[in-house]
Amino acid sequence: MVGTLQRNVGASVTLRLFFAAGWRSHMALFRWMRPSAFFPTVIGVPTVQLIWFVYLGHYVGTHPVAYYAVGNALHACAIAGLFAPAMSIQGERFSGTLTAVLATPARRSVMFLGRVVPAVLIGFLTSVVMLALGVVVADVELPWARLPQLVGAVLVTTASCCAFGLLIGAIGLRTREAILIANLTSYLMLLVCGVNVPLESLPDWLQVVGRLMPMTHGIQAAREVLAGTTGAGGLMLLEFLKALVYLGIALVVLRVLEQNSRRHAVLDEM
Amino acid sequence: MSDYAIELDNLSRVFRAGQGKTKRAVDQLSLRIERGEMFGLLGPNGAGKTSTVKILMTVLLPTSGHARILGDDVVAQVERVRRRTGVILGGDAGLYARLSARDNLLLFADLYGIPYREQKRRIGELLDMVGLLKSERTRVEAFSRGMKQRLHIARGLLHDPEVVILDEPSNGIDPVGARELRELVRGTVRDGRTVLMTTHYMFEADELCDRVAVMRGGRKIAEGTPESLKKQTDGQVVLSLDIIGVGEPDLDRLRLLPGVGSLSVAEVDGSQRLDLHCDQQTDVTAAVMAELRHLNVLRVSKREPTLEDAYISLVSGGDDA
Repeated sequence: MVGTLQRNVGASVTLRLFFAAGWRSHMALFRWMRPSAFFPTVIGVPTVQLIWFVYLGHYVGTHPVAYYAVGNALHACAIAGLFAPAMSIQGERFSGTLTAVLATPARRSVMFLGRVVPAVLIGFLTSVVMLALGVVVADVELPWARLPQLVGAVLVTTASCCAFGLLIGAIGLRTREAILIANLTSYLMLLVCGVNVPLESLPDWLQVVGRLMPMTHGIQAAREVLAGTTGAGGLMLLEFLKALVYLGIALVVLRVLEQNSRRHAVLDEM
Repeated sequence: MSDYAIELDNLSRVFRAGQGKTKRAVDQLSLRIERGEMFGLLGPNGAGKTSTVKILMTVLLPTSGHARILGDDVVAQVERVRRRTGVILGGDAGLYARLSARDNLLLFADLYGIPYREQKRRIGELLDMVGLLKSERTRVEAFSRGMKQRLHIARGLLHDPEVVILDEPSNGIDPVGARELRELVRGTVRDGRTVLMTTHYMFEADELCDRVAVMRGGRKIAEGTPESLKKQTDGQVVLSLDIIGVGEPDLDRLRLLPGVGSLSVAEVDGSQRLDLHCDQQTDVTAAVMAELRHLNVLRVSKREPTLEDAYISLVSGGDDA
């Protein structure tokens, strides 16, 4: 007899949708999960970027080179953290699976939040590797006693970046330009989030933009932890709250644009 | 509980076509499909088949009218419809090329909320059924079109749906693969499911479907069993010619001949197959040969109309039924 297969919406099924489907979707959509693509893309690009800015900073001489190393090490999480969630819709469209996925009864909030988890993990690991590189090339001194706080700062920065990436991904339900928006965001972050240029040296309006962007307070928190000064906890909390706000907006945008795409028949538009 | 598996009531879908114009992709379509029935939706490109299927898949909203699956409205009860409907798309779309067959099914099993213990059993059964058990660990990017299509079927049946929608399932598949596919579709109906299938291939519809509907310009222009549609061509005969070099002016002259209804031309092995649907009472052979005397006619034969002839007669006719 058909239609008798056991289905439920219990916790184990929800957890599988969150973790297993999230991880498998990441494997399905991103070529960088192959080692031949992972190292050049996820590790290679930020390595070159970090070294480039460290030597530029050394030449300019306005800050210690560790300043640039820390900023770029945290910005490194954007490769996976920003781009993977940003491409989670557009990637489905490219692979021709978007219609099949959206025809399933899976809860969208769980499904798309689950896709953020691998991005957070890979982004976090990338930043950790880049901090280690910073130790080698820029004499960044890791405070072993405050390592948990540093891990917290990196984690919250990555999470915030991923949440913003999901917001870009949600917009991808209505536009083909998600990857362009993610690229623009990544470059904007280099300027306004205190990666290489102190926020205070920017015009007022750019400082406002910087404070609204992900990463700014997380980078500041990491620098506070490394300098051994107080205030890192508040900055991390602020970055975490920004992440929650981005996530909330992303889920609302996803819901609205999915409904909208059903109304206007734009799901398959390439 | 509804008596019907699929019900469409005056379903319409209007698209904006730019410059303030609109296009009615589906126009006042009404259908009733019984439980356990295999129903074919036929029509040329742009007839509105895919828009109808997308509305039933819940990925497109109708502009007006209603569509219900097993009594559930596809707009108001989306989640129930999605749980009880399986969608099998044709072509390469709908599968993750970088994942193996098994991983594709595991991913969709999670999206359909199937508990893990059930997943293992169900995926094993389905891979066995579609003959992909040996290739379960192979990435889909290495699959042939036919293998992908069989995996599509497994994916569509994963959550044990009561209603299955197949959108041009045999598109681009070789004849052997298409035959295997038809056998799988037949098995789906034997299991007690209701199947709605869109197809361009009339012999496929003739072989598989209990009933068919023909669409043109978004409207239903005929509905019935394949046999009843063929009967619409009663009193007709098909004059079939294999010919080289026939052009539009020749066809225009043939259309004007008394006793000639519709005609169709297809490329076959370097020549053209010209089928003229003619009145049985009037032998038009001599007149046709006279009109085509300047061309190289390789073969002339007469035959009884098939479902394809009935379809061509319907979709090339001017009046809606």
